[in-house]
Amino acid sequence: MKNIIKIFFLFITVFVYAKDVEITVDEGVSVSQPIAILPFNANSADLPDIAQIIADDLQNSGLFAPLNRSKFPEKPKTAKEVHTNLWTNLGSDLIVIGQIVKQNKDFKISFQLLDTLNRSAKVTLTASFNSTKDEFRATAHKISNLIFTQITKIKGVFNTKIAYILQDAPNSYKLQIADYDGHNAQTITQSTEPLMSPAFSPDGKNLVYTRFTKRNSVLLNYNFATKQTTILANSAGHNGSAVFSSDGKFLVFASSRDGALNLYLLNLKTSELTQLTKLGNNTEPSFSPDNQSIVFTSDRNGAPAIFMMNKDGSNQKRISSSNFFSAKITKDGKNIIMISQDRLVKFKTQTAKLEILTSTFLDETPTIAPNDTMIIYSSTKGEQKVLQLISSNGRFKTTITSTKGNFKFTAWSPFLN
Amino acid sequence: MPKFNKKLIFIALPTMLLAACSSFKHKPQMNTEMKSDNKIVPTPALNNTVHFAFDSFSLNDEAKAILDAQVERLKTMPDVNVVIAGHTDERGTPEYNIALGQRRADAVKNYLMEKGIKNISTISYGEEQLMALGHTEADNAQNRRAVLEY
Repeated sequence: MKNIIKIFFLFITVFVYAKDVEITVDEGVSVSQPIAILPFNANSADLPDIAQIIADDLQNSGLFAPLNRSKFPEKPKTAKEVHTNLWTNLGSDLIVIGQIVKQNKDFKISFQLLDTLNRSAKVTLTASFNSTKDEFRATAHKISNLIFTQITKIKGVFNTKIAYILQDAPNSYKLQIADYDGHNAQTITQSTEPLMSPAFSPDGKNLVYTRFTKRNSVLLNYNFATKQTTILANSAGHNGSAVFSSDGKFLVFASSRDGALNLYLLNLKTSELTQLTKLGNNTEPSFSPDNQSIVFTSDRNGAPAIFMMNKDGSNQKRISSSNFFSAKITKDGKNIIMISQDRLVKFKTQTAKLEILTSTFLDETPTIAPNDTMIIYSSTKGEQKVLQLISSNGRFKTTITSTKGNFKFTAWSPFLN
Repeated sequence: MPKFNKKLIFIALPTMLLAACSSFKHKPQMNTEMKSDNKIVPTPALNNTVHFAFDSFSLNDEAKAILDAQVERLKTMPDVNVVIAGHTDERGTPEYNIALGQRRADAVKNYLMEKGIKNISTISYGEEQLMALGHTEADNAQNRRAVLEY
């Protein structure tokens, strides 16, 4: 372990720019913020439970601790009906109340965020939405975002999507997208041969992924608007592990066209292809938050380890000890999420401390929420692979898939409007 | 070793089959035809799968014996295209396992080429096509493989 820490100290010099970033919520709050989300009163019984969806969203972030409903001391319908002392006694300074009113074709959903610090509850945020029944989950996620941002000053990601590969039979592979919490899954494409490693473009309009043929594996781009699939790389061998630069102008991917896996930079405008690595096998590239560097896995020294280089391939250097994989840097530059010994780990760049986040089995393919607050990864339960969500601070963990099959290769979408 | 193999050995060609059986340890699949006069004519389906140690792509003696038998057959089929698919067990990350599966496919390809076989292509599936879904060492050993197809 000492050895790991020593080599990771190199990160400190590499991530000097991270010092300029100030995020107060992440490490500053030592306890998750209690909040009470009261059930929204509805005229119809078979509607999705909006209050529960909001509570789950806030809890998933690891920054909130929603109170259990069974502990609610009263059921106020308006701010005036709230007895603030009953709630502060429970440790909750924050309450959300909401209403659902049936209109002609749809519903009007409104909510109020209240603070209970004074004798009468104070409305600090209120909004209302028209929503069809099908849009209830989406509306709940919008409300979650508003509440989350009001309190933490961090942009919410509860309306974002994930893409992943589902293998639901020996020869059935599906590329699906779903809400970040695993709901509303839709199949984009399916194949009898394996599919791997989807990645969203930074504008969320395109999805690259890898599809095996009987001869090789092909890197493809799916456009959500046109529903068209185009070929990005179709050489011999493997073409995969692709990721966009955050300006959307470049794609980096791994290809074994010359035998070993090497990283290539594809200029999406000019189609110019530049080989970035030459030694050993090189894969799992990921851009640094400033878009100027790429971290990746390489076995050029024997055992696989994390390396870093400039976007043009210059200045390649090893930055981890052996047997680290799948490195991804959080947008604030403070953490590097990786796989080590089949476990999800977090390396804190400022303190050079390595933290094992999980106790699940065979963790792989992590993806970080665009606001850095959550990580989704794949782990093995029995004979299946499931998707796990963990808050980046490690406080909250949940399994987000419940249907049969192997789920892996999750890619988190960018912020969506 | 399945019982019917012993029976075969007993009935016909004892020395040749004994030699073959030792290299069929992992996949003892034998096609047999029952003739109407009750004589058994063995037509051995050559084992097309070799296995590897953890994190290794070197061919052990057992793997070489399997490949030697394949070489003998392939020499009689000069126009055939051979595809070698490399696979790993479930440990490690999927994209990195593509590299390990490729090394296994390449190890088989190089061995066959040294023996004079041409028209060989390779593909690595990494851990995307597991044979055994359990997590024991036996399951992992079954998954670490290279498979010849033609």
